[in-house]
Amino acid sequence: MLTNSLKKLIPQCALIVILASLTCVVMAKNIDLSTLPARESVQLTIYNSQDLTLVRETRQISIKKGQNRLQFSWVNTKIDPTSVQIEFLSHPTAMNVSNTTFPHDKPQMLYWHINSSIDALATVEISYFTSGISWKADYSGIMDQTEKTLSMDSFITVTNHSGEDYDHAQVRLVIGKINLVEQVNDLLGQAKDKSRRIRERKKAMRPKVARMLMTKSAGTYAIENDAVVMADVIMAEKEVTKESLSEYYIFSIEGTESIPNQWSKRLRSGFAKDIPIDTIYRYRPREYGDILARVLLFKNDKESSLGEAPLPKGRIQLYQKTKQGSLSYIADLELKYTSIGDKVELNTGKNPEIFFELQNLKNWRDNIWMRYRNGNYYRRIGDAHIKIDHNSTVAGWNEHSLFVQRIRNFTDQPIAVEIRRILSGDAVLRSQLDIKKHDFQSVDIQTNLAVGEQQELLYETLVKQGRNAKQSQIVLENRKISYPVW
Amino acid sequence: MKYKTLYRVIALSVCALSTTQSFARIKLITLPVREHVEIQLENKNTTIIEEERIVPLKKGNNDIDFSWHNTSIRPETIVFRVIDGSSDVHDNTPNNAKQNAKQSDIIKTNVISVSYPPNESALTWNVYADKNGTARVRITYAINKLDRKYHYIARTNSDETNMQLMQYIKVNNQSGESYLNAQMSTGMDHTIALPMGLDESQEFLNQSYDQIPIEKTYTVNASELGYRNRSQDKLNVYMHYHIVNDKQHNLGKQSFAPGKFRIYQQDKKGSSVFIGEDWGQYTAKEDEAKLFIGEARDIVVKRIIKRQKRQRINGNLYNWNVLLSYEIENFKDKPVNLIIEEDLRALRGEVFASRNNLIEWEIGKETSFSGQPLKKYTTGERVAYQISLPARQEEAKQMTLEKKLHINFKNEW
Repeated sequence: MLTNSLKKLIPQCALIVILASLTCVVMAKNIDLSTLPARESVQLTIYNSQDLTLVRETRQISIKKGQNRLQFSWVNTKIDPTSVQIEFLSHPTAMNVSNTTFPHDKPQMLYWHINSSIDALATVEISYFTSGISWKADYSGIMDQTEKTLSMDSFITVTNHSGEDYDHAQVRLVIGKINLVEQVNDLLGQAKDKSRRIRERKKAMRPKVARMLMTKSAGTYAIENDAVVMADVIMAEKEVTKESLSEYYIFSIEGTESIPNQWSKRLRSGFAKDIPIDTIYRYRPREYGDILARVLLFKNDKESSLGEAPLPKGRIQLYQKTKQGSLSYIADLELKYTSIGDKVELNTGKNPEIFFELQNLKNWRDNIWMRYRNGNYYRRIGDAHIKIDHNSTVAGWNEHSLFVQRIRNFTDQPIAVEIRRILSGDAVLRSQLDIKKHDFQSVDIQTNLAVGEQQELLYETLVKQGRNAKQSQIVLENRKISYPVW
Repeated sequence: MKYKTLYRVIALSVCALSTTQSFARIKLITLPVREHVEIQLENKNTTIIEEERIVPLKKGNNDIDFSWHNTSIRPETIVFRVIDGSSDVHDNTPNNAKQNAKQSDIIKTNVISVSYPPNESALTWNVYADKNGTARVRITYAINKLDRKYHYIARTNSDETNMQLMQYIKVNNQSGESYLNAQMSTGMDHTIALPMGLDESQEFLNQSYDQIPIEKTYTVNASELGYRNRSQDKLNVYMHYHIVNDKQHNLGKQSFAPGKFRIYQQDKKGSSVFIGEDWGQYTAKEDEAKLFIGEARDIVVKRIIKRQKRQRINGNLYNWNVLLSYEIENFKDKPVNLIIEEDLRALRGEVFASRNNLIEWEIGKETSFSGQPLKKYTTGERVAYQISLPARQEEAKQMTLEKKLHINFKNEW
């Protein structure tokens, strides 16, 4: 069949065919004549939370008054067959689809039966979902020498594994998490199952088909690539406009992009210069592990020349400018999704130029309560008139520990340090340090160190144990703590 | 794409047929040479290459191909920068390059997009130029398998009071690419011109320091350093050098990367003898490095637990009273400093089985060490004392020093 030959020639193209036997109502005959209307425009809306892209393409087709038949096929692509739709943009009232037929022997094909009240050159929009096109964000940040400001390029990379070349496509990217009840790939699987069943049936019919082919004259059809070669356009950098829609954000790339199958394309989606950054050294073992992590903070707001849209999740390559203007490498980090106005936190890891050590200096117990078996009562060690009973057991006590947090700043910048300490149970923390409670079982100790400064931060913890413990809490007490004498 | 098979090396090519699709089959390609290459070794985990090339650009859109077949470039780290203006131009660039830079000042460029073809180690930058001319571009990327190791040679004088220290860097290039005109940057504004051929290793002296005062100590610690002879209660005596990385000690210009320290000592005839080696940890400026050199056989320390006594407070609550004795002899013909450390968790385990995690202890009255425990080494679970041992005397007068350590473990059950 002619359509089969065409498919062999353009195996990866979604193909729309108008059959010239326009008045024919039901199935195709073996001899058909068809025309191939080219894509006028194509728009890709790519969702990165799901393997999903909405494709909208427009084509111009001649429609005759009465009944028309349109064939649409998508061999070797990843189109969701349940999502294919047609709309008549130019003549919405004069034309309608009376029914859609999915032929029993061709899994990736459909026929639209169109009723028209006029003869016209109609513009139609065909839309469908496809899988295999994805996008991701990534960033490149360059810090100045003093670590006070950052220039950041944001990029988006679109990768096309859909099986179809999209030439001169308008590209829109959706940031946000949408709900899908069925994955496009699964729907594709159902189509593949059908394809397998047909293949098996055809295999059984092979001798008959072979006889039919022998009677048909041979021939080849040269098909030109129908992509329109656009006139050379001298352009400045493409602008990426950002708008919000429901719970999502849409980034639209200016102009059109050609993304052939299997290719990736990376485009700059934003640039921010002189973003003011704060560097803070944090010890938070649950978040950053057992290190004093250098954390860079900046805000996704106007002051940072950002704040136009959320920053999608992506890797960031962080560099620092040296005196000679070269770039020195800092780290490859993950930038988490950051809403407008929210803080970006980048953990660049340990700085070996900062000495950070917590040392336990002394421990002692007091307030020890004994439980007397005879009579089931309690007495405290050290209280007057305490009876010695060899059968009594320790039932409650307080544990004191004295700690020194040693920090030395060997860097050439003053630093701010924030230390989170977790104290489980009924606890008291005694010190004269700048301490704030974070939650019921952790505190943040804050300090600043000048260049070359060394600090020894002393604090005492008291944890009530056994029957002394009443409730999980931390009580802060302001008390001068001095270095122990052993 | 013929050049990609011809050049195993990185090829940067500018398609003269600008403004056409990057996937055209017929291409005319110019190959701009590297004007300047810098290999940065500052980051301890990542080696960065920064190369500068002068690229001819045509008015309009230009495709610049960059490919890295068979090399270990990390493609996600590639940064492409057009150096505009003279402020960003490297000082080491040759004069003609600087002139070119001035010409390129007037070209405005913009990277429009980057395309990644399938199954190739390559990319294409689409760069827009507002007029014809040349632009100086810098391409920065991280590369794997171009790594380095640090090692140190230290030479001490005959009485071990000061040393000479040399830091060597060995750079090993298995990255699949050669950098023959490279400037190697090792940190602290220190660069060295060194060609790096393919699969080649280069070793060079990076820093050298002289007249560094050092301190030598001897340490015993039964649980950490163990016994030389358990049945005779003789402890291992470890000898350490302490090097302080600051100005007072003629150092402090840079931090020391981790690496092997090999230590030689000058003998009385003026030649040097290898006396030991140790792995040096990262030592920041102002910080101290402690190197274990070897065991000292001429200092004998016998450790004996003389007494352990349980005292009931009430019910199942006790105090434990432990007395340790150290018998010390110095057979060296010079006085030495000995540090005696006792790990109290291990000592408690030797004496009794405790149910408590926390260790409460105090120093008892029978302790015969003079002065306070060493603040530097004493913690909640360790006590340390330093004593000065006099030099060896004539055989008849050889003295055995005895020191007692009395520890009370309190409130145990």
